[in-house]
Amino acid sequence: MITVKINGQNKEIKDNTTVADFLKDNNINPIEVTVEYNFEIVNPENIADITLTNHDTLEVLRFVGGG
Amino acid sequence: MQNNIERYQRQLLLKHIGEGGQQKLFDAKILVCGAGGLGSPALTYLAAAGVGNIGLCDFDFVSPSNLNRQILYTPEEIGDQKAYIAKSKLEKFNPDVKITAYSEKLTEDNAGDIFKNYDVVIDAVDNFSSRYLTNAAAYKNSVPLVCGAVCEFEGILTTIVPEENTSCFQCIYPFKPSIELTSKIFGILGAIAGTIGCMQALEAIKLILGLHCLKNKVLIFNGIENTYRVRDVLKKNTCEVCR
Ligand SMILES: [Zn+2]
Repeated sequence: MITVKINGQNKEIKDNTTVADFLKDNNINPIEVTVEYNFEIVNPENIADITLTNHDTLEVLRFVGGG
Repeated sequence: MQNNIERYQRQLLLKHIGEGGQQKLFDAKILVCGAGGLGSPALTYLAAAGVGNIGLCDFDFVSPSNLNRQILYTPEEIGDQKAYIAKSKLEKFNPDVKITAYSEKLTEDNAGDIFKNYDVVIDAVDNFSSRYLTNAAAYKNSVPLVCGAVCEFEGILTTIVPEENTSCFQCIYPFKPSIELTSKIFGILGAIAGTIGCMQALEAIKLILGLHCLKNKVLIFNGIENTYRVRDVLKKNTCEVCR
């Protein structure tokens, strides 16, 4: 297991988890969110290419645009 | 101060407002883009505070599905144009306030000309395309912008000050959503829009008063979990709008 800071809170997740895996495991539809990985916004096309490592930081923010 | 001062007595007591602050509010010009779920409470509380000049911009007409959150309107007004109804309600609510209604759709061509007349713009629109447009127009014309948005039980809020070169809405969402994600699809509870709309009025008032604002930060409100989280918004040197 590794520890990743997700939306400000430390969470334990499995080794070799990609950003895409993380979203899937948490029932998050990738087209509904913006992901910031270690303070860089991830191009949605690349979420399967990033494997989370110990002490990474991940921010997952929904597209909130209504009014 | 020639307005009905008694009306503002409770806020004149506040050390952050007082007579000097109230005069700033009387002299202020604030534009609210969108007179819907966010705009209804934002406009109402700006008028309540005695913001002297309020612009409101909405090209839409009242429909039944608006009424769970757009508290400026009633069933008798279904089919009427929001901009004019909102103007007449707000003028009755506080006769000290001058309301200017814009009933046209905001476009890249007209946004700058309208924004230039205001000290602060509130983005209370209901879709991403309009949000990118108001963000770019506010930055281009150096007008502070208070962005608020809601979806289901969630809301976000951020304040953008171009003169201070802060991060912008597009720094939060540089990759546009591949489909338009609106409350029409996901739904929205009125109290959530009301919460964020009130916070937008508060941010705009604080900008006028020169108080602390949510610059370079985004507040993320979750109404189910009762959480408010504030995190940094890093300015992106690749941002098309604010770099
Ligand atoms: Zn930006």
